[in-house]
Formats: sequence, structure tokens, C-alpha cells
Amino acid sequence: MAEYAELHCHSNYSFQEGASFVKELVLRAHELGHSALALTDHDNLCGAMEFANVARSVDLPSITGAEVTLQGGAHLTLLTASPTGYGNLCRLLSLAYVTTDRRSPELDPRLLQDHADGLVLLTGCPEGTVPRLLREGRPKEARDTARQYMEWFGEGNVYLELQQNLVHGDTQRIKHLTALGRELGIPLVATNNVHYHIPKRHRLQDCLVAIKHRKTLEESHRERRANSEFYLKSPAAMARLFQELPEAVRNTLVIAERCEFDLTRNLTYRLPDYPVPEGFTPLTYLEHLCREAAVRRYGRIDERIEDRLRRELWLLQRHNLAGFLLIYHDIIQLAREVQIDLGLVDVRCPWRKRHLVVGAGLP
Amino acid sequence: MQLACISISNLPFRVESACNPRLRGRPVVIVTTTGQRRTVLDASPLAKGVVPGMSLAQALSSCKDAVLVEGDPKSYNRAFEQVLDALEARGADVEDAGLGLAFARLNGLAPMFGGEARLITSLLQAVPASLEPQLGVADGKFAAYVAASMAPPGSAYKLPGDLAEFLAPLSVDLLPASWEVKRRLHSFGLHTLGQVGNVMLGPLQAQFGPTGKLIWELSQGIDPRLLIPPHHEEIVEEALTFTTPLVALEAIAMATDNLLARAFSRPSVRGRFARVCTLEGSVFRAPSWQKVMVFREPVGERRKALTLITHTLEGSPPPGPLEDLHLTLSGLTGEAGRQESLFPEARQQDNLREALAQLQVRLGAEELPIYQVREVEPWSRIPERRQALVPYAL
Amino acid sequence: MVKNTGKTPSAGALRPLNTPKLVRVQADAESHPITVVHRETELQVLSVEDQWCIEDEWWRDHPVSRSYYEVVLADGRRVTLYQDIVTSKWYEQRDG
Repeated sequence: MAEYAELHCHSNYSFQEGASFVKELVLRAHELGHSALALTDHDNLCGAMEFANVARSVDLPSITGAEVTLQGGAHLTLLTASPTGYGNLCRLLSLAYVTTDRRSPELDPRLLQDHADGLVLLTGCPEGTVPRLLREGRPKEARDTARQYMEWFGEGNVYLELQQNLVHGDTQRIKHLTALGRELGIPLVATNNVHYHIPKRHRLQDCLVAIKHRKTLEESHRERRANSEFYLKSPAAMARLFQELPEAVRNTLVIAERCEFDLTRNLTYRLPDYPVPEGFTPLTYLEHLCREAAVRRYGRIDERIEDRLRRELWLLQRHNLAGFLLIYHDIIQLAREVQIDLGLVDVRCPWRKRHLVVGAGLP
Repeated sequence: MQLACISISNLPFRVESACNPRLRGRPVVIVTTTGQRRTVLDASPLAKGVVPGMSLAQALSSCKDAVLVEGDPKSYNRAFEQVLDALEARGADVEDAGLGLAFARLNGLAPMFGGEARLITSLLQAVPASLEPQLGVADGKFAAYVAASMAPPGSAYKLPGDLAEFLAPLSVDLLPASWEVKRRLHSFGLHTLGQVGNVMLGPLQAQFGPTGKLIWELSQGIDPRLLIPPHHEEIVEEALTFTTPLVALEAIAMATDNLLARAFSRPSVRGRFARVCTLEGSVFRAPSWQKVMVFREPVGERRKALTLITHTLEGSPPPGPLEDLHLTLSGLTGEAGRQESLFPEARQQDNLREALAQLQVRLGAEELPIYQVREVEPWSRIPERRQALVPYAL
Repeated sequence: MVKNTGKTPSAGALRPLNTPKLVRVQADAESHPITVVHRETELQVLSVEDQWCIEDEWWRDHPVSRSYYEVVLADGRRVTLYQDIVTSKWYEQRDG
């Protein structure tokens, strides 16, 4: 029986392009027997947590990713293989929004180099840099780009993405990419550039594209897709489409196995550190501030106060919260300096330590 | 001067109900859109309280059950032009007094038709029965208009000889004056034409200026206004129909270029300049479209015309896919007002034209079956939409 | 009112190029062409070099829904065929 994981899939969080909800995609993939599913919305991770949770609920392995737009408009598919990769992907997306127009973010491809760790790169849809260069008859530049990716991401983390959506030109592009892969030793992977979970949703997708470009359906001929083949296909259907390149289908499983990062399980919240003065640790510095404040507040530290202080410091040390509270202390100091109403700061902490720390910030 | 007034009330409604008989017997409001505003163009008699010019919102609050119809002014104008043509074809001088109203001079026509009765019958037959025309005959436009208003639909009425006596008891509301003038007449207690006629001319002129003189004369049965037959302007028309509606501006520009080439290649247009270009087209599942472009300077060259037209279309493109395209050049003059170059890209075009002209003579064909391949939508994924054969214009 | 000049407006039609031509094709269970009657000769399809499909203008009365095949015939010629999904008829049409 054929096995396949869809590694290039857009939900409605690919705004004005994806025509299916996350839940619809996950349930359909599960129904079809996909081994895993990646969500790769355009330039955002808006649906990532929802996707991971829904996938987990039906025991479908989920892969967090995104289709990133590069400067010049080319696309690239990035999949997270580890928490580091997730962090890198978040940074890359943030940089794209911050450094260019937030309404149409574009990433400087040179930034990929320093943020490649933990990510798997697929060369993207027909609008990927490598397929574009091949289409434009610039094979040398296509080779150079592919080599560059391998250098940045490492061999084994770069795949040439093949898509056969029965659009005129797909067959030729697959031929050229396959030849390139053989030449450079880059493995191939099959995806279906999914934009909806079932074929009849292509009509909605057409409407969304027309809206996106502020045109009528008639006028948006060039922007709309040629047919209704961009749906979640069964493993058997994908195997048939790539029957002459079975390794492209097999590699979807290889990648899925590599990308074990699960947003619902592997992302723990790490509290921030605090830059303490020399000779102190965050905990000893916090203790120092609290003792000063206790003297200001109570006049002296008696046995009862000492006992309480010790117990709470022990708790803070156990939960590694000293840095967290020191940052709060700074915020309150700042608020005092700019005379912001402390009532806006909602500090829900049951420990008395908070009171002293807050008290340390009060006149 | 004996005149006939042909009046077709509610012409837009009548045209619509002729196409769609289910509209008859129902309150119908015909709507037109100008910019963002939707107003009433016409309403059927059953649409109580609805008058032309009213906003759609007001119309709907006056007549909640009204059936709304999107107006198609092009078809109404065409229907009325056909009426005018038919009247002219009977030998009458005809004045277009607005949509649904025309005057025809009858002097000297009766003998041609075998008598006045036959003439009037023939004039009535010039109008399709579905439009239910009212025809009035009298001396003078105003009297003929009054007579028409009194005629039953589909028939004629001739006013008796003594116009002043006949007109006296009629309301001043019939006068061809503004609503404000009529309101003031009523406020002065002048409700009938006889009352107006009894007033001295001086005070009326003092109050209403030249209009005062006119309404005084009309009330006496005197109508100094002449019939103004149309000025027959020479126009050039070319048309194309499309097997598939055109959407892309480039394709429409290409079709326009073809029409311009044919128009400018006509012997009657050679060496002349057009002031006005009108483009009209039937829009797929929408009211028809028309764009009138008045050139700042008369244009006598196809490429220049195309540049100006394309620039206009970019700013206000057709509202939908065009099923056909009609081009009309009018305001043809003999002068450009500018010195043209002595050496336009001449020789090559001339040689080609000469060769084609010789071919035409040899084949003895009125229209040469020569075409050129033009790109229409080269990007289309549907192969037969990419290029088209376009008749080559000599 | 502008009087008709008396000249008949000459209405020509934009004649599309590369219009599809009806052709007889025998297909297999998966609608892939097996034989084609080309210029009155039935020829076997040696190979299907490419396949693509168009599904467009679904909002019109006559949507465009076609499955294209670029095939090599037994006489060595390469032709492009398509099957209209709505009518099931086959056509030959150049692509490009």
C-alpha cells in the first residue's frame, strides 16, 4: 500500500489563497491515510498551533512549516525539524515583516544562512527560485542557487520539490529538476501544493484569488490556477502521479520522520535571565534587594520575616523565577520613573516576595 | 404651419415590457446609475408616487411592491431613433424634442398620402403599436402637444380651428415652462391658459422675462417657435462581433485598432479628421456600454486615435466582457488645425496598399479575404483565445 | 438625432486561430487515448508524452473543462489532443 506525507499545504491562514480550514485539511489527510501532514502557509505561522493541536487529536503527525516569500517574489518551503528550527523559522518570518512592507513581506535570502539550523528546505512551487531559473533558461544560476542552499542547510536538509498538478509545463519542469537533482546529488520530494482539501473547493479558491487581486473572475485569468488539481490527494494517487519517480514519494516519509518537532509537546517556555551586577547571581541579587526592602518596610528583619524570606527564596530557586521577578522589578522602576499608574500592571503572584519586590520599587 | 406631435409616454417602460410582457400590469421602476447614485429613469403608471429623477430609496418607499429593472438607455434611444427614422422616411421634417417626443411638419404631405387622414394613419403606423403613441395635430408645437396629450393611446386627435378658445380652460401645467414658473403662475392665481392670456403682456414679461412673452403667446394660440429638423451629420461606423467576449484591455484595444484602420481607410474619410469617437458594445449579461470621446484636436490618423482611445479606456474600462464593439467617428472636418508631417511612414504602407488594391481588382471581390494574425490574449491557457485573424484594412 | 448615413455598418467577426477540430479517438478505461483517426487514417498512439488539464470559467454557461494529451502517433507525428470533460468529445488542437 502506498505511503505518503503531504509536505506543502496551505490553509485559510494563507490569506486570500487557501480555501480550506485547518481542521478540514487535517481530517481529510487522516481519512486518506497520510503518514503526516505539514502546514506551510504563506509567510506566517498563524495556524500552526491550531494545526498541531487538531493533528494531535487524531494522531496525525504534524509538521510545522511555512512557504516563505523571498525578495523578488520567489517562494521557498521551510519545514521545522527541531525546536531550534522553529525558532529560526520564527526569526526569519519576523525579519521578513520587519525589514520590508508588512503587507507583502519578502525575506532577504542571505538571512537564510544564519538561520538554517533545524530546518529542512524544499525548493518550492513553480515560483521557487530554482524552478524559476530553470524555466527562464538559466540553468547555471539554478545550479548555483541549489548548491548555495546545500551549503547553508547541509546536505540531507535540501530537497528539490516536484509538483505535478497537471498544469501545462509541470512535466517539463519535473524533468529539468530531476536532471538537476541527479547532477548535484540533491534528493527529490513530491508535493501537491495543496490549497484546498477537496476538488470542488477550487471554485472558492478562484474567488479568493480574484478578490486578492481586486479583479473579477474573468479578469483574473492569469492569477487563477489552471485546474482543480491542488487538493489533498490520496497516497495512491500521488504514487500514480510519480510512478516513474517513486523515490520522490518515499522521501516524503524520510522528511516526515526527520521533522519530529511537535508544537504541542516540544515547545517549553523558558523564562528570561536577568543581567545581575558582578558578584551576584539572580537569586542572590533578588535576596539582596528584598532584604533592603524589608528593612525599609519593617524597620528590621526579625525571626518571622527571616523565616518567610527563606521559604520564598527556596521556592523561587526551585522554579527558577528569580530572573523573572527581577525583570518585573525593573519594569516597576521604569513605571515609577515615568509615572505610569501601577494599576495597569497585573502581577498575579501569590508569594510575598512579589510584595517586597514591588515595595522595593515604591517611594 | 401644421404640425404633428408624436408623444410616447413612459417609453423606457414600454420598451422593457415589449421585451418582457410579464412586466405589464405590474408596478415597475426603471433605474439608472450615475456614479454612486441610483435614480428613477421611468416608472409604469401602476408605480404610484414614483416620478423620474427620484432616488431609488424614495421610489421604493413610495411603492414597496415595485419591480426593479436596470435601465438600458442605449436600447431606448435606439428604439426612439427607429421611430424618428420611420417618420422621416415618410417625407416629414422631424424634430427630436427628447426621448419619446417628436414633432413632424405636415405641410405638403397630405396629397402624397391621399389625404390628411391617410397621412395621420401612416404617421401612427411609423410607431410600433406596443409603444402606444399619441398623435396630436394642430398649428404650432404647443397646440400639437396639447392635442397629443388628449389623444387616446394609439390614436390621433386634431385640434379645432380656434386655438385660443380651445386652450383657454386648460391648465397652465401644460405650458413648456419650468416647474418654478408654473408654481409662480398658480401663486398669482393664474391657473388656466385663458387667465394667462387675459393678463397684459408687460406684467408677464416683467415677472418672467422672455418666458413670460412665450407663455402669453402660447396661451393666445400663437406659437412662434419653428420646427428644427436635425442637422444631418456625416458619420462613419464600423463594427466587430466576437465569438468569445473580450475582457482584457489589450484585446479591446486591438479590436478598436482594427475598427479604426477600417474607418480611416474609407475613401470618404481619407485626408479628413474626426472630432468625436464613440465606442459602444454589448456587455455580457449586463446593460450595454457606451463611451463618447471628444478629441481636443481633430484626429486624422489611426495610431493617434488609438493612443487617445486606449488612454481613455484605461481610466474607464468597460464594465464587463464585450460581445461586440461598434465604433463611430463623427464631427468629420477637412482641417486638422495643425501642420502634419509631409513624410509619414509612407512608402511601405503605400506599396502594400497598392498591392492589395490590385489584388482586389484582379479578383473582382468587393471585400478581400485577407487577414492578419493579431495577438488577442497571448497569455491565455485556452489556446484558441491567444490569437485571432483580423480582416486586413486597405 | 443623427440620420443614418445609409452605409451599412460592416460587422466582421474576430476569427479565433487554432480552433479545435473534432477527431475520433479510442480511449482506455482511464480516458487515455489509444488510437486516433488522423487524416482519415487510424493510427495507434505510441506514447503519451505529456498530460495536463484545464478547468476554467465554471461560472459561464459553457465552462472550459479539458484533459490535454501530447501524444506520439505510429507514423512518428506528435499531436496534441484533448477530451472535453463535459461532452466527452475529442479534439485536436495545437498548443502554442
